[in-house]
Amino acid sequence: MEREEKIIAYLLNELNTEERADFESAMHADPELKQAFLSYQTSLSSLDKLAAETPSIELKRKFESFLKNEIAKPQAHQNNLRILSPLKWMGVAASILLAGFFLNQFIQDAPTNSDFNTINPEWIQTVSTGKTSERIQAIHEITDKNDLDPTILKAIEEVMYNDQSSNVRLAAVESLGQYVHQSEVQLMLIEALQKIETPIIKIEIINTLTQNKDDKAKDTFEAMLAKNDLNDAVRNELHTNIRKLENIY
Amino acid sequence: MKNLILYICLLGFIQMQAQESYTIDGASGELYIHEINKVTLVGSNESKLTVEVDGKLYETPEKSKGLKLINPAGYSDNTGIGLHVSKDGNSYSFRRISNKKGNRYIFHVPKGYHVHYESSSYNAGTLHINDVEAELDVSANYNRVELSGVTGPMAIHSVYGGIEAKFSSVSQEGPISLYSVYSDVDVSVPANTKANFNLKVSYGDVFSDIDLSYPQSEDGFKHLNAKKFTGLMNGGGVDFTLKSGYNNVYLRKQ
Repeated sequence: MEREEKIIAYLLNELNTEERADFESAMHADPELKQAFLSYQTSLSSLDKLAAETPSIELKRKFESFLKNEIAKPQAHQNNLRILSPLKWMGVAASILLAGFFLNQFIQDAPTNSDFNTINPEWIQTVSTGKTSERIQAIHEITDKNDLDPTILKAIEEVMYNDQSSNVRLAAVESLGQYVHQSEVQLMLIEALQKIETPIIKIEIINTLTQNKDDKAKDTFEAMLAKNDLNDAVRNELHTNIRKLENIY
Repeated sequence: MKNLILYICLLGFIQMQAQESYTIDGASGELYIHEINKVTLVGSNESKLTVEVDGKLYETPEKSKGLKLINPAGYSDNTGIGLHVSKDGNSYSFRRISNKKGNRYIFHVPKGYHVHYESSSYNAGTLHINDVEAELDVSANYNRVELSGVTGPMAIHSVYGGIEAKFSSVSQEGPISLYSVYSDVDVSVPANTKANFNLKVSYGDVFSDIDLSYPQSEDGFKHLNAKKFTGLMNGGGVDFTLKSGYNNVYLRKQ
């Protein structure tokens, strides 16, 4: 059995007692195996979390319709099918589930008269699996061309928290910044400022909130300064922006 | 004297031969470089990714004989050049093992690669990127970033370090973004570049020798703000963002 298959079998509880014990010993002796195991474990738990989201009936209907369309398409795509490693399959599965998660969230959170077409599946595919530049472009385009609606807002928020590239998350904050005068966006950014750890993202959020010249932002900045574990650059940015807000008043 | 020169040449040759490297076959893939200090990325036409140690590899102390370098994250040197590499399909992640400053690592990158670099260390030094056509995604806290002969697409930011970039041409394939919070952003582009420059400074100024045109918005006015504006070069083209929080942006034509 290949190493990857063994890890998956272990995680899925498909090994007998002796095989489990052997695998655990091997893991103790081989840091690389342990690292690979931890990666798989993290991926699987993410999949579990995503899978726990129950798709709505509307999502199910749209997904079935999407599948029917795909099946009806010519066979050209199938010629490109390759045999993928288990990890690749998990990546593909994660992308599908992530896209499903996005769709589900958008449908559940949007008002009942919301137009689902405001975000097309191609866009979701790009922000889920595209290159860094493609994801940044997709974020900018959707906010440049569309009025802000809850579906788009939710999508950009997801990217701000979860994209693997801090440059893409930065682009998401910049895009949200165009709507910072809306209280919903302001509250979203205040929450993100306290949750997100990456200094550059925090700095961008601080500057964005300051543009709005609002007391809530100043109160948040002051509360954050009371904490001891702040990054120096973030602390400096908070001080500067509090002064900026005080001059404005 | 002749013998001395020969001896010096021979020493140099031996040292060159002793340069240690690690190679991965394949002209395309994803390259992740995590927290490795002093990195140079160089474009390559070969169909393999090669990582070289510039100079002699850091030697572990005499006292460590018989012991293994322990990394809290569980990584070990599986490249023979003081780095850990992990593989997932055609995606390769390199990580530093030792906390010592060590030598510079030179990555020879085929253009089919997509490069992701991240560093938060005080000791990260300057990140040099030369003649790389691969897409770049750089996230740095302290690095200065110097690029030459690059084309984009790219997204690069550094909190404290400055960014200097000399483009050989400007790719229209995807956006380009260069952002330093506390230092200058200094960019040179060829005179025939087509781009929409988004220029943003909070406390600095923008300097340029390029004749940019400023588009009107839908209301018929030109919205010009000295801190944040868009200027088109040669009628416009790819989105090209230059941003400095506390310092200046310099935009030059070659």
